[in-house]
Amino acid sequence: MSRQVAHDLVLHESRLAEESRLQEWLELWAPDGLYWIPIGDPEGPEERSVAIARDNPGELRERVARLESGLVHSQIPPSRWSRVWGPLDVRPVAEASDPAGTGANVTWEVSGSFQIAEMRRGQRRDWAGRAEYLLSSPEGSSDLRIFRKTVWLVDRDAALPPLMFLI
Amino acid sequence: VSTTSARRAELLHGPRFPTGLVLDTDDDMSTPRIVPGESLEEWIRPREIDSRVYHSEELFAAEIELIWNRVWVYLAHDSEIPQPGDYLRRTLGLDTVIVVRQEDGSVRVLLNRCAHRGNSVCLDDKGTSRGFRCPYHGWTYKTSGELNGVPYRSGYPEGFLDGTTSLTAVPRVDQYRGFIFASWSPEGDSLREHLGEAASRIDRFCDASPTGMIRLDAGEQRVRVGANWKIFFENTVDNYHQNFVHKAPLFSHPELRKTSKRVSGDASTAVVRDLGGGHAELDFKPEQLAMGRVHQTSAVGADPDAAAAYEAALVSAHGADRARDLLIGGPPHVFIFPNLFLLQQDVRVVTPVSVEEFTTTLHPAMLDGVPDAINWARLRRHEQAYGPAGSVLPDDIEIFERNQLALASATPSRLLLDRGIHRERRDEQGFPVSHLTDELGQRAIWRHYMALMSQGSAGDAGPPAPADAPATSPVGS
Repeated sequence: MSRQVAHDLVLHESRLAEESRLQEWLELWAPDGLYWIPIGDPEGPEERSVAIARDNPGELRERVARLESGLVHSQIPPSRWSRVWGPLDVRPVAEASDPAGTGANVTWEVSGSFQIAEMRRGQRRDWAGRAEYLLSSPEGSSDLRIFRKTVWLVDRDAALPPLMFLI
Repeated sequence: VSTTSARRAELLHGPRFPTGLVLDTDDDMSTPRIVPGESLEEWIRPREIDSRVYHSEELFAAEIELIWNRVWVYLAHDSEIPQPGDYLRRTLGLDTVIVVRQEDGSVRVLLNRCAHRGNSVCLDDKGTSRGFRCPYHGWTYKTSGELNGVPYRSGYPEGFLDGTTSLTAVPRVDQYRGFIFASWSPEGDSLREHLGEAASRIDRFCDASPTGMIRLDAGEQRVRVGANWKIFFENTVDNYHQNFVHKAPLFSHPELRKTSKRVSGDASTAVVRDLGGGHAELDFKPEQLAMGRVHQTSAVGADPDAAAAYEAALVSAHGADRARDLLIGGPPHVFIFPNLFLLQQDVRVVTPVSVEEFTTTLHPAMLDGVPDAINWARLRRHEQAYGPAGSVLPDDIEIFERNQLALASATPSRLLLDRGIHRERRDEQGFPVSHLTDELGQRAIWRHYMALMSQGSAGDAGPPAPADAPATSPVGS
């Protein structure tokens, strides 16, 4: 598996989200995936701390279904947003390593800083932070899926406005 | 009470409006005027609210003085500062304060402002310290607020600093079942008197734990809302919006949708209740018990073994009847004036920032004495619904902000709070109740607001008798 494929998967993921191609976006997730936007800098088991979002794939499907239902007032009108990535750091994960401690076959770790400009209801909002991806392949397959995406917002412990798009 | 506190008290309880800029009043001091020729009573009527109450700068300033700087305001929970020296930086009205555990176990609330030049002495939201140091000129204070050290002390005459230069202590601090409140007013109703019947709702919230204790140790979500804080309190007891504003999460959960339609429907036995003193609740319990399913906050999402262990612990702690009542009846949904909202698994706090902005802090409460899986399921459930990316709260925020935008024009209008006025009644304990979707709760909160704003007194003596009910007040004076 080439470094380039891992790199491009991350860019592809953020492009699908930006373009609201949410069904295609859902297909990128591993069945045991996790989308996590932490708040503080959790001590101890991360399950002990409340997050901004902590979705398994089922919950991601629900999130997408809501967004596509046209019933979410805070997305009427929808956000228009654009992301600028800093350079992505792409690292292979040693075969024996198990960074999430779940036995998943994680093969690549990709991380990078981003800035997002959001426009909605005449208001500009800025979001910034660092995103970390763990990418996994099912046994015997060369496909890469998102096993975990963690978004560390710079203002994660501040009072935030609604965060309704898939950051 | 330090000298500075006394000065603060003098300011608050001397002339009501020392600047003369806030509220002009009639000669008898009974009818506050926000603008010449308009009294507050014209703006805020029992069933009609003038749209200007949501964007008047003058009224906001008066609310800070007459409400936030006088009444008991919820600040923190015992479990957040368990050890001596543990502190939190919180907001009381518009003041930044330090809530700090003392050596003797008591709690003090100190204004975060150096007595010398007013710099902030506490820079962290949370921590543990033996005292506070002002970064400007190095003055240090004990956790009690008492002055500890002044660099180059010979620059002051002997005795000059003695006893007069501590951090200003908020004069009254008290707690109920671990909920810590403070009041800038040196006298007035005790906390227990202020809470009245709302205390039993705090009991219900805590009794979901087999040990009767909750912990706010799972962190907090904070959201910023571009709307007036009173829109928040109105919405806490508004169930009328549920099936319209929260269509999206109900759309994903047919079971919840059914429940939600049932509790809001004409045949619903759920009620909105005026608890007196500006406190009001949505009481879903009669419908929850009739449906007979374990409430979603109790165990849903946790593994069956953990759920069974929780139920067994609750039965052993409270007996089978009370355990059933708690597990199936569910937690309270109560607004405790002016800033505390208990609902689901959430301790929610509103803080005004300016006339057109408030923040809300959401602390998911962890139950003491239950398996971790129960608490983690509560957390995951909380995240799905609430916080800045939840399925519920952002739509409330959207509606609040659109409301604020629509109201913030020069054209005043009168907003209606009549819903259910023909079907108010008293329950067995004598509390005014009405159908769950009625606006009795908002009317109750506004009535207390008006009492505080008009008199600067202890406030509302209790709900007035509805025209068709016996004139007995259920709430003590």
